[in-house]
Amino acid sequence: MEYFSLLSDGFLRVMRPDLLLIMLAAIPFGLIFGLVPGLSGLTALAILLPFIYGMQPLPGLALLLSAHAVIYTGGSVSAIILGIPGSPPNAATVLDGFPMARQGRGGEAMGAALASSGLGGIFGVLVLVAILPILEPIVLLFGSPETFFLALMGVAFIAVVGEGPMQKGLIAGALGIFLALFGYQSVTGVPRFWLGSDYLLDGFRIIPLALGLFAIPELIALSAKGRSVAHDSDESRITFAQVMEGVRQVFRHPLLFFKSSAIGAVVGVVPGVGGETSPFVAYAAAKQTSKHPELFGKGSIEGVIAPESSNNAKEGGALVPTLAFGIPGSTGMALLLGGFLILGLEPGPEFLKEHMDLGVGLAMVVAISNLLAAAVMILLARYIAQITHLKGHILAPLLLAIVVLGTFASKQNPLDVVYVFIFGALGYALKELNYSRAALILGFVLTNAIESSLHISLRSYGWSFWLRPVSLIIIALLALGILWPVIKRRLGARKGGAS
Amino acid sequence: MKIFEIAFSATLLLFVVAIIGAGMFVYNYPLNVMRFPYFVGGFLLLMGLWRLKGAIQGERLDGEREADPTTESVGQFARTAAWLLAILPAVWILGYPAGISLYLLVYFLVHGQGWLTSIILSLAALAVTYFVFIVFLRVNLPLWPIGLAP
Repeated sequence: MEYFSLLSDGFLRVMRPDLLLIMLAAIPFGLIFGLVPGLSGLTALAILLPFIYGMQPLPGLALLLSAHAVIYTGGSVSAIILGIPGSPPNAATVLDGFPMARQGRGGEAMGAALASSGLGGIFGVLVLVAILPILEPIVLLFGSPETFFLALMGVAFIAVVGEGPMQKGLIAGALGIFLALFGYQSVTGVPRFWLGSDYLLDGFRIIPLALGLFAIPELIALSAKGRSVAHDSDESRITFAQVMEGVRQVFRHPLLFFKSSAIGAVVGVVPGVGGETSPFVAYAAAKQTSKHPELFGKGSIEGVIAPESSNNAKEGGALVPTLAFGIPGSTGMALLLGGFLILGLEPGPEFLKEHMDLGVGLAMVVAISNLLAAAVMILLARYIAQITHLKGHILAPLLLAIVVLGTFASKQNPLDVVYVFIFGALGYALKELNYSRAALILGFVLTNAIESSLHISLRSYGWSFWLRPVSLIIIALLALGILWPVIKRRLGARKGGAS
Repeated sequence: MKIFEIAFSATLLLFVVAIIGAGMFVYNYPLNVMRFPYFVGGFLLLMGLWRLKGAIQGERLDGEREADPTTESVGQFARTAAWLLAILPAVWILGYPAGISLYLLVYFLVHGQGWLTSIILSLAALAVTYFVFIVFLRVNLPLWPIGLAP
């Protein structure tokens, strides 16, 4: 009963006019960044990050979360009309969405994608809301040793299953941790590796790092190509009636929708996974159980509903470990975690006890953003898609100006802007050489939790701190996660040998 | 790409060794300050050396995607990067509002936009900079050359 009143309180807190305005401002931003291939949701979050300085926790997080929640909704449109996924998780939508567009059914694919995205996002929130009250007793089993191993597991998982090879993912994750060691050590207060520079006393800042890693390499790509991404597309055949037919298709496939959304929410809960994984898992599951698997890849509406439902549902799931343990469930959540730290909040076991209302409020923000974004896109998708016709030579410098202004606005320190370019060079090298930038940023934001929990564990339990039962389970999962690619390869080789 | 890979791994190793070395021999930090950096730095050194060896031998890793370079040549990368970097001296020398508008105007003109489009876009950027950042967000943006503000 108490939880239900918390839910209604959370809902009422979000329905404030100023919060709705913030969400309405953030949603087009997220949609556009999702829509333009190459700009990705992480770039949007990185650009928005400086703007939350000085804001109250709920409005600040609502700004980030609203933009983040709808990025894949925007990305589905370019996946269908251009055949290029707006964001990597939209890649599975291309498989059937683009053939549908080629057959003149682009509007139907778009309607199905937008409706399943929006409803999937709400499904993910329902999962989150159902899990939150059960989480508190589970979270209490987690002391500092478990937090230490769980944080390490988050970095290791994103390094192993993220972009690029595992070895490079682990290097990137460790480099992120290493970069966060600069500046005052939280445990002793000693300024570490400050190299005589006052700027480094506080260590490297999350905003220049995030913008450098995620925005600058994309701006280089956009500027180097110069032309628009939609130079040879044709969306003139899309009609509103077609879009509405697509929306109705989602309601004609309720089982497929629920199954795919459930897959998204469950995969989203696993720290560091989610991302590109869940849409493909949902797509494969849909194909396996479809009455017409032969149509998949040739323009099946089920092949659009499945990945798009799971895409947005996974974000509700990904909020679970982010809020409860301070371990991001997806790459976007890693940047969102940076937003929490900027606002002076530290998600984790204590967070749920003290700020459950904020957790519920954030769940409501995700639900409302998904609904609003789906409605806006269903009405205006054809017009919003025109943004993909903007030339790279116009978009890149305008975005660069926002990056420079936003970086300066966060701390009003001109050196931050210089560091954006220094980290931009690092981000470019990482991208070109196939290192995981997500693992680096995750390592960076989790370092404080890792080092402090290691310090407290050693003081409280000595070197045997890892022998607690929950710690042993997490260590086993960590080992399994790191060794999984090797095990999979061995099993594959044995199967190949046997056949 | 191979030389770029080798250079990146070698630079990473040098960076880690230099920072850990500075902590040990220049700052003489006690063990409770250096314990965690030793752990992370040691891991990075091991992994970095392994990667450097692999890069020198031209080893291809599991999960490595086909090279899809952002720019077509080193020259194109240098030109693109220089154009983006040019915003730094512009804002440093002219202050933020004027520096950004002038940067955009020159960028658009050089990259083939007409005078009218370039002027409209750079004036719009000036208006956004002023009204959004200075008036609405109350950011103390440097209006004059940085270091010479009145």
